[in-house]
Formats: sequence, C-alpha cells, structure tokens
Amino acid sequence: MKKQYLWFILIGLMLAGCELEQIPVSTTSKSAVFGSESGLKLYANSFYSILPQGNTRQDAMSDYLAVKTVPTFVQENAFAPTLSSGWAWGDLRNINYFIVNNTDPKVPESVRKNYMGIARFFRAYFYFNKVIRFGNVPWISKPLDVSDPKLYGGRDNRTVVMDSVLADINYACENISTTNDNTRSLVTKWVAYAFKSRMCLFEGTFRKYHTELGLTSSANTWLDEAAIAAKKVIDEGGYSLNTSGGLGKSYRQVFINPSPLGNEVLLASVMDLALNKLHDANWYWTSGTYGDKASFIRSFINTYLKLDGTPFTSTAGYETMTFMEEVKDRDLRLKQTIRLGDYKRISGGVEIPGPPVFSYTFTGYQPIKWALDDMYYDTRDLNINSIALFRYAEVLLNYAEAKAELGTLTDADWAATIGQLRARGGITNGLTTKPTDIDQYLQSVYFPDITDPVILEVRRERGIELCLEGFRFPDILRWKRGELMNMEWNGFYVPQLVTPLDLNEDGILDVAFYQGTKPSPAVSGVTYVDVSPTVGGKTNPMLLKNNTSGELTWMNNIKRKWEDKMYYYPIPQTDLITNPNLGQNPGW
Amino acid sequence: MLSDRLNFVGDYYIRNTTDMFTIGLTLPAVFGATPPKGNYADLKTKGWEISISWRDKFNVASKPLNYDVRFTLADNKSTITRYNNPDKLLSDYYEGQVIGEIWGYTTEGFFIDQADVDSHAKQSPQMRASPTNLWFPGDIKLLDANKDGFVNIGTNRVSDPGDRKIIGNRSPRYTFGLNLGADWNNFFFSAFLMGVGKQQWYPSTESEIFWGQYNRPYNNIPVFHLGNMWTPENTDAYFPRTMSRAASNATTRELGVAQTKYLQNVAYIKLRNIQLGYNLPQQFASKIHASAMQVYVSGEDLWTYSPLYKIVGRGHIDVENTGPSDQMFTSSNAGDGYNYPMLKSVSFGLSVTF
Repeated sequence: MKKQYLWFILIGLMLAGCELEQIPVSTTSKSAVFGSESGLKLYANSFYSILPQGNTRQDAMSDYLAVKTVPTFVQENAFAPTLSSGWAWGDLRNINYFIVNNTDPKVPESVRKNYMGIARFFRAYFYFNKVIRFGNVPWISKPLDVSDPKLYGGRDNRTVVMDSVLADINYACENISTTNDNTRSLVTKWVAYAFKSRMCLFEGTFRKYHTELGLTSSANTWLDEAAIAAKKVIDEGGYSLNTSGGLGKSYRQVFINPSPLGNEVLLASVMDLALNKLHDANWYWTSGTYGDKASFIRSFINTYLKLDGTPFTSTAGYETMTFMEEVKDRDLRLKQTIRLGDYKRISGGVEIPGPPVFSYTFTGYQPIKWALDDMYYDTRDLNINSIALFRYAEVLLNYAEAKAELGTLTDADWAATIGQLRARGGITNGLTTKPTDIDQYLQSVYFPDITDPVILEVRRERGIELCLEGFRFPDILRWKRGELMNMEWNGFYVPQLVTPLDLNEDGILDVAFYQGTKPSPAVSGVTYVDVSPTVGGKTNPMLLKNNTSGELTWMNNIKRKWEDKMYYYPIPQTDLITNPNLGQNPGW
Repeated sequence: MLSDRLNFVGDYYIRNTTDMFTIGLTLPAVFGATPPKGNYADLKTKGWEISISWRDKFNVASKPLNYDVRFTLADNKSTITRYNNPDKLLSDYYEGQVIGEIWGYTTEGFFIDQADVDSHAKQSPQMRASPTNLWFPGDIKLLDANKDGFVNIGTNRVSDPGDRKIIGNRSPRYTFGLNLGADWNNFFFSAFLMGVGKQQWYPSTESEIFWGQYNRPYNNIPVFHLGNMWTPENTDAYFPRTMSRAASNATTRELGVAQTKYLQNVAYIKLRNIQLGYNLPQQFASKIHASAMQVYVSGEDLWTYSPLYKIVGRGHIDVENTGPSDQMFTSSNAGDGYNYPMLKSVSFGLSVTF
C-alpha cells in the first residue's frame, strides 16, 4: 500500500515540476524592450553614441590647417595597414539587432515604424562613414551568428552598399514621425532629409569626379536625390539662418552658444554643466601644448571675399600685404573665424586684447570659431557650447552644389542659398545672380579642372561657411583634389625681421621675427619667433619664404605626398589577417 | 647501509585539464561583438619533482655537529592541447602552444651606415625607429629570416610567422631549492637558497625600469643606459641610437618588438633566508620559568645572482620582479619591475618558550 502511494507522489511531483523554464530576473527580456514604446525609445537612445560627441577637431587633418605634427597619413611613405583603424562593427550589430527584433505586435505599427526609421537612419550614417573611409565594405543587414559564412566573406562594392544605404535613409525620411525636438538632440524627419542631402551629394560628386570607378553615368541620379532631399528641408522644415546676433556676430553665435540655436541647428551634440558633460574646444584651440595648435594657412584665408563681393586676390599687391591690412573689409565671417582686429578675450571678467598669439599658432591665422571668449575655459575640458552636427547652412550648400553640378542652378536658387549665406557675411554684391567670372586664384590654386564659375563659387562658399566642422577632408576626397593636402602651410606676410608687428593695431606690439640671436633688449610683451634657417643643427620648421622676409612657412622640411591610393584608408592589418577574403584597397 | 641518512623522493606527473571555460574563436570584426564563451580549451602539464636529503653528524671538539642538506628540483611544461584557433593565429592561444613561449625576431646588430640601411631588407612598414619612418646608422637591424625582402610578422600564423621564431619562454623552468641546516653545541644555523634554472623575459613596452627613455622621452633614465647607447664613437653599445618611443609599441617599434638581443635571461639563485642562533643555557630560561630561550639573527633575501644583473647592474631591477605578480584577481601584467620591491632584511630575535 505504502509503495503505491510513493509512486503516486513521485509521478505527481514529476508532472508538477515539468515547467522548469525560468525568466532571468536581473536582465531584461526581449518582450520587455520590444513590447513597449518606452522600451524602443530606450534602446534607440543607444544609437546616438555613433554621432561625434563634443568634438571640434574633426578637421585636424585637412588642407587648410597647419598643425603641430604632420599627420602620419599624409607623410611620404609613413602610413601602412599596420597603422590603420576604423574597422569596428559593434555599433552596426547593435542597430541590426534592433531592426531584426522590432516586430512585436504589442506596439502600434506607426510607433514601430518611427523607431525603425531612426534605426535605419543610424545604419545609413554608420555605413556612410565606412564607405567614405574604406570604399567597398561588406553589407550586413542582420546580427551575424558565430557560424555565419558572411563573417569570412569579401567586401561588397560601394554601389551595392550605397544603394542599400539610400533605401535605409529613404525609409527613415518617410517614417520618422517627429518633426520637432526643442532640445535639438533627437533625430527628426528633417535631420534624416538633411543627412540624405549630405550623403547623396557625396556619392554623386564622388562618382562624377572619380572617373576611374566607371560610375559617372549614375552620378546625376544621386545629385538629383540630394537636391530633392535638401529642397524638402528648405521648403517644409521651417528653418532659417541665424541672424539674431546681428551682422558680424550671428555666424559665430551658432558655434559658441550653450544651447543649439533652434532656427538654424537641426541636430547638435549638446553639453550640460550639471551633468558634467563638457568638451575641450577652448583647451584644444588655445593651448601651446595640448592639441594640434591648428591654424589656417594663408592660401585658404585668401579665398575669403572682400565685403564688396570681389575676390581679395584680385587686389594688386595682395601677396605682400601685412596681416593688419589684409583683414580689413573682408567677409565678416573671417573675423568670426579667426582672431583679428578688435577681437577681445575676457580674463577674470575684464576684456583684454586678443591678437593672434605665436605660442598657439604657426601661421598667424588663429581660429576662434569654436573657442569661447572667456579665458576661464582655456585650461581643460570646460566648454559648454553645443556643437552643431546638422545645420541649415549645410542644407543650403548641399542644395546649391547638387544643382550646380547638375547645371540646373537658377538665379533664384543662388539668391536663396549662397546669396543668403553671403548676406550673413556682410557681403553686398553678387547675392542675387549667379557668378559669370572665374576667379583666377581660386581656380589655379584649388580647382584647376573646374571651368564652371558657379561650381567654383559654391565650393568657395562651402569651404568658408563650413570650415572646422569636419567636412573638409570628405570634400577633398569627393572632389578628387587629394593633391591639396600637399599644399604648403603658409602664414601671413612678414615685411622684415626684428621690427615688432602690432597685429590688432591697438598700440601694443605683439610679435617679432628674428634670426640668429634674439634681439636685445627685448621689447616687453612681444613674442619673439626664431626663423633662422637652422636651430640646434636641425632645419628650423618655421621659416620665412625669402629667408629674411616673406610669408611664414611651417614644416616644409617634412615631406607630404598624396598618392591616389590615399582616397581610401587601408583595411587594418590585424583584420586582414583574421579574414584575408576582405582583400586590401589598391596600392596598400 | 647508509643508516637512514639519505632520503630520496621523486615524482613524475601528467595533468590534463579539460573543458576550460574560455572565449570562443576570435571572429572577424564584422561580427560586432565579443564571441560567446564556452568550454573550448584543454591543457596538458607534464612535470617532475625530486627531493634528495642527507642528514649526518660528526664530532667537532667532542661535541656532535648535526647537519642536513636537502636539495629539491622541479620542472614542468604545459602545452595547450585544444583551443578554438584553427588557423593558429599567434594573436591567441593555439593547439600545440607551450605556455609562455615568446615569438620574436633575431637581432643582427645595428645599421652601420646608409649603404647598410639601403641594402638591408625593409623593416618599414611593419615597424619604425623614428617618426619620419627613416632608418639611420645606429638603429636596430633585424634578420630577414624568410628572405622576402621585408622584416614583418607575415600573416601572424604559426605556419607563417614572418621573420619570427620562438626565441624563449617566460615560464620558470627547473626551480630548485637548497636547505642547509646545522647545529652544534647549542648553536644552530640554517640557510635556504632557491632559484630558477631557466627563464627568459622580454621587457614589455611599458617597463620604464628597463627601457627608460626609449619608452617615453620624459621617463627616468636608468643608470645602466649611460654610456651604453650607440653613438658614432661608441658603436659597440648595448642599446641603439637614442630615440624616444622606440619601445612604445610591441608590434611597430624597433625595440618594442621581441627580439633575441634584448631577451633577458632571468634565471637566478637567491639566498632567501639565513639564520644563526644560540640556545641559551637552561639556567637563564628557568630564571623566568621558561622552558627554553633562544637568541638568533636572521636575514631575508640577502643575496641574489642572475645573468640579468650583468646587463642591468645590481640594485636596480630585482630579478623576481620581472614576471607578473598578482594574476589571481587581475589580468594586469604588473611585473616588468613595477612590483613592490623585494626588500632585504636582517632581524634579531629572542624566542622564549613557556
């Protein structure tokens, strides 16, 4: 009898214990994340780490900045696959996992589509940067399994990848429902359209000018898409250029304001003092030791127009004009980009003169675009100004360039885009009709193959308006003007040695150049810069063009050499060894 | 026959560790995450230990002098017998690897002049001596073992390590110990020596205590560097032409890459403990109602010898501080001279037994 009871009890327990599945209580489950809108929103927040955070130095490697050390990438024979980087795919997996799992019917379809749109925006952004850097890359649209053969596959051609990227961004443009976010820190529909105009312009011009790819026939389709996307933002976005600070201040205001100026900025990397989220712009741009000591070169500064709309380089004798003279009556954006004239800094609440300082600059054209005036921010990462990632000016420029390349830019288009940007720069002529004269300087120094004056002027405007915002190197790549990276790093004109110069004409002498022994007695307050041919037995990197006078030249002794292979970075050596099927970019 | 004076104990063992939980196969970066872990690794260790001791006594001045000597010697070698690395990439463990092996280049010497640089196999782009990527007389010259005109890591596999081969092993081999003891006429003496018979160490890039300003230009400069750097007048020096950051990276700098010349022999013998004491006569002890009293002087870590000291000099790096220290809780490789220094100590003592 007892034995039978035992059997009953045993069987009963076994049946009751069948459900052995336990949900982990310390980690979240898929249904909690994908089954609610707040879960999707939280997940989507993780995508934003792909965007540049607190970075004002994205142009450190460009043709128009002279820096402390010549970047290894452009030094002759210095760069190699062992030094390459950027082959990181963790962000993509995060996005793909979301895309593949965002299928829970508990969330309404329109909400799911909105977040899917955001995810596909970021996938487009991710792949766009990979294509710029490496050219052909493998297209991966789902999180890979450990045994997936695609892990060891080869790379897909850029045509395949960019078509998929276009599909992604089109979906994002159509399905992201948010049209306005007051903090300017979330991706909205207009951000998606603005990004579409950026990437389509890149791809269209890249295919047009890189004829060796054999893709010129498809270039115009891309340029069309860029123009359409930009027009959507222009017509329906409700954005406008910032003019609230008045002439001479509104341009820079966009970059030094703590909160993003909502009329012009679509998306920004926003800082927050309370959360201790700050960046190092002042420290980077005003330090003698930290950062790259980056300054503009004269060849680029020469492209800033005079206030009457004529090229500065058309003035006779411009080559031997001193700094004090050449900065007068120029595009007002120049004084909002570099130190000149009556620029003042604030030290302990008191305004002090702010001429270029030769312990921070090699060329004399010291940038102030991102650096706040108050010297309090100079010592370490204390900057509170938000950094615009997408702004209306870029959309206007994308539109103008796409239409100019297509040959369909009208006078009205010109007035609405370049005209407005120049008006903010205080320029008085040439705002309403397209240019018809070719600026000889711009063409011969920068774009010898361009014969269309409209394209030349659009490129000039883009370089000036978007300087230091991270566009320059990709622009050089897509215009196929890599040779610009070999340009001499020249500074302002020095009429003679020893005599100190008063760079901002405030009566206080600022800098003097000498050779051999430092002049004695030294004038107090003057920075003395040695331009002797050799210093300590080695070639002096800081010299004057004609030895005792002429433009400053920096680092001519380190050879830079642009080769065609450099239009793409090489696949890093460790990654190539792990998967030889990736193949290497030609020439590396 | 030997009347119990000689004692011998010997061991031989084979230990198989199976199914160790470790990372999965390193996947290409497009996977986008670290691979899941699993029971992927097996290890086999073979080793032996012997211990010989001799105990005897003889009379000195009609009092017995007891002495004993014990010598121990042990060795082991571990080999990986299973691991998730079918291509045998050297960036990970691989099947057949002896634990602790060091892959490196063979150093030929220094470049003598520009013609030497031009005619030698290209060491760029794999590595550089100076930031300009140019090589000058006085820089390190490595052997192009596979004669392909380049000095590099090949495809970083066991089958194609480029110009590298196994140049040493960082596991300690042939560890030994020697205990000596004696007592006579209430004096007692003991000494313990120990050491490692065979071990190599390649100073890692951040070992400031070895590389000095070859790692970072603002590091301290060790004394043994002075007068020991290549100059056109001093071409026979140990170190190459002075160049900061020459040892900053283990794959792309001329000194950071493991190579035969700078592979250090860190075998050593150390006098760990030596002690001399005296048992005080019974009448002293009984005065305080103790059963025994002893006074002694002992010294710890008083003397070390290692071939490493021929290079780095004495009193600078302790040979026991070259290997990693606390591996239990961190994977950091503290070692490389960064451990808390080994301290010599001499102590005097009084022992009272109640």
